[in-house]
Amino acid sequence: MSRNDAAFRVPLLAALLAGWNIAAGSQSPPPPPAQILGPDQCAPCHAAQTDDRLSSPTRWLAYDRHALAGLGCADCHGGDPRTADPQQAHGASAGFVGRPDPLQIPDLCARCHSSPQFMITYNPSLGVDQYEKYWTSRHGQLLKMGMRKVAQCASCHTAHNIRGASDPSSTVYRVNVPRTCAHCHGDPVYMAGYPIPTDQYVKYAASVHGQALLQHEDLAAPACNNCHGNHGAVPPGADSLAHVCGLCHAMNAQLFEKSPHAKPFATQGLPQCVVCHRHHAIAKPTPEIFDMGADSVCIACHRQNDAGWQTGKKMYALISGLSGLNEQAERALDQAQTLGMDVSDGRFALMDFRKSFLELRTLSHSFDLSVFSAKAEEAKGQAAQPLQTAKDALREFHFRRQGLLVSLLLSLPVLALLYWKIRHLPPRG
Amino acid sequence: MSRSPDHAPGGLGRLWAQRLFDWFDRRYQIAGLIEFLRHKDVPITGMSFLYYFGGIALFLFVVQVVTGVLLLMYYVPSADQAYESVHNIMAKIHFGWLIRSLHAWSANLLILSVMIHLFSVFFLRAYRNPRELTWATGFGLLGLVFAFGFSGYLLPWNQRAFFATKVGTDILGQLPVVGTFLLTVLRGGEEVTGATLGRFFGLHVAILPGLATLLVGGHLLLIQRQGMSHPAAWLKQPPEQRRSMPFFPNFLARDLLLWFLILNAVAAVAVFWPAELGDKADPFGAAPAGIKPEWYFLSQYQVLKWMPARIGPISGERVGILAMMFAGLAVFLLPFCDRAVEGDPRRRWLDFFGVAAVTGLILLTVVGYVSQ
Repeated sequence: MSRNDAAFRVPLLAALLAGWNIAAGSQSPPPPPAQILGPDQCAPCHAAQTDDRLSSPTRWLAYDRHALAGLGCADCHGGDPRTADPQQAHGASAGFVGRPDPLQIPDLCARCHSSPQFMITYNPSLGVDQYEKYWTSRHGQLLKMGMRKVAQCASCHTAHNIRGASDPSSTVYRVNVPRTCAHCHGDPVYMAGYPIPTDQYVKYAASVHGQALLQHEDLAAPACNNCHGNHGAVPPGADSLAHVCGLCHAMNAQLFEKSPHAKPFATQGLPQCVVCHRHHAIAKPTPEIFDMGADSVCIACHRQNDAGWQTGKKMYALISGLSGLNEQAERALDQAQTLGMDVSDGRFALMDFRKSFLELRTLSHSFDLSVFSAKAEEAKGQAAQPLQTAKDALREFHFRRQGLLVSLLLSLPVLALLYWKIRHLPPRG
Repeated sequence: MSRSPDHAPGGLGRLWAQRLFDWFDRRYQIAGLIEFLRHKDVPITGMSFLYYFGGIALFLFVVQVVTGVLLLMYYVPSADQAYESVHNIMAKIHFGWLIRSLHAWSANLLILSVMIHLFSVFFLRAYRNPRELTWATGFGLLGLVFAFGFSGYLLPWNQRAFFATKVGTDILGQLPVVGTFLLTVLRGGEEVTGATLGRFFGLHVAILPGLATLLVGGHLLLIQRQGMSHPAAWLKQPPEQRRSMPFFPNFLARDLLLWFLILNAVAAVAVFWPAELGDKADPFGAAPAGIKPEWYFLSQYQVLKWMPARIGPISGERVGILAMMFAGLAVFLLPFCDRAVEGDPRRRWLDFFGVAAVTGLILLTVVGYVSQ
């Protein structure tokens, strides 16, 4: 979606919001519009306009959710759609409002979207609390203060090309949400008046979540709104971060809550998961997170050879050893497979090992060395099978070649004998 | 009782061999059979190497039968277990990989040999009177090896085979009048399912081998009865300059040497490039990227690809299929139509047609292989 989208370029054919009795921040939006009967003259007339600002909204009529549901232009813009006479259609007496002011948009949308009685006739499963949530959001709070340069409904959903969140071409489809947010939040010029960074999108796009969602289109990966909320978008506080991350990483959050780190983190007001994993730039954790080296986050608090230091070093040794085994098994299986050998059993065994390895990585959030060591031993035992499969496959590979060589060598005397016989058969003819 | 000079006594081994021969001969009169086998001569010309392809095809047919029977011991013809059983053959059964790879590679070589054999018979004019039926049975065998290839391709029940069969049977469905009926009969329904696998299995291991055995037997019997065809150029030579060799044992010994070499070569190919299996068939999955038929169907596939959507009121694909069927029919009827004598200008046309057909087949196959 573009800020300069048609939504914001609909002509101001009526200068003021005459007759539009909406107060920004009102908790009781007006009732939904009555259905306008008769043919709608807005679209044919606007489609014929040469000024793109006037004609562009009609391009989306075939896709727009509202248009497809039977809502007409006048349901939002007012006016009389039954007449093709511009003066009459756009007259103040017909309730024409033209382009709604950003301050008015939440109330405008809420006329329908906050009415359970109205919405149930279109989409019973859609919530009707967006309006209330919006005013609790940072965007809503700033809009209430009269700031127009904040996101309201049309900023994210567009004005005339509104599509369902499950439609891949929608601005609020999960894969598109980061770019929709970044349109404002990634623009340093636009965000100049706000004391927040504008590198979130760049960091997110490079993170494990961003790569999963944007590159692999993994819809299980979180977009901005999964942590920040959508209609009630606010930054999560330090004490609630574990809950936000724990929505997906439930085991990690539970183990962390019981770990020796939970209390000191809470006491010092440290933002839990973010301390080690950061927020927008969440990289794939490597064993080096525990190695107490220069890049290890542990050394920010732990001193050399204290109990935490030693636990971290031991965890690093175990997890890096298994990480090495994982790579070794993968390489060995790849090698055998490249040589044309079947290693599917080894692949299944490697999957079992990786499941244990993943459980081990999860267990690292408990910082309980005894539990961690026991799981590491179990995983180590599982790594033996794919390695053995690869080894057997390589042995079989060499056996086949040696077998071929032996069979060729054994064939030679037979071939020689046949050749000798052919040479010594009496010719005729 | 006739005694062949080759069976004259000489040493203990020969004595026992002679006794064994006599034992059988008294009961089954095999001396006459040997004489029947012996009377065939093979003319020696510059193109004599072409005579080996019939024998190679016969040998590879036997390899197909032997390896096919071995595969049958472990193969399970059901949509649930076919893929797993082939995987089991490739991964768990001792030398299963070798047997399946020999089966797959020798099948390809068999089709190639039969095609070369057919074209060599065409260019040597060996199909002409009185060998019309030998040609007809040979042409039938060519059709059968294609049918073997098409039906056998589905049996591993992998993704590639599934979609190739879907496309292949769709093409058959384009035939006028009988197309829909044929498609339904072959698939066992409207779609490619486990029922199709059952039918293709039945075709591949029972119906086609039965027909092939009958045709191979008839083909060999006719050749043995009529002897080898003598090329015109060989017949033109004065009788004293015509060179030939007895089929038995001279030519057969050469055949044996060649078969042994081919067996070793196929084994080497099987070791270095074992037959692939791919992913299990998933009717709801996407067709594998760049899916194409096997090389022996590539030329037909390319022709159909080049056909326009419609030619007049008929779909281009249907016109292409009918054109190929008529071309096949013309080739089948060739011995009954070719009455041209040596030196007749019509012979040049036939030679030109043959060269164009071979060149076209090779070019279409190459284009089909490299095209996207």
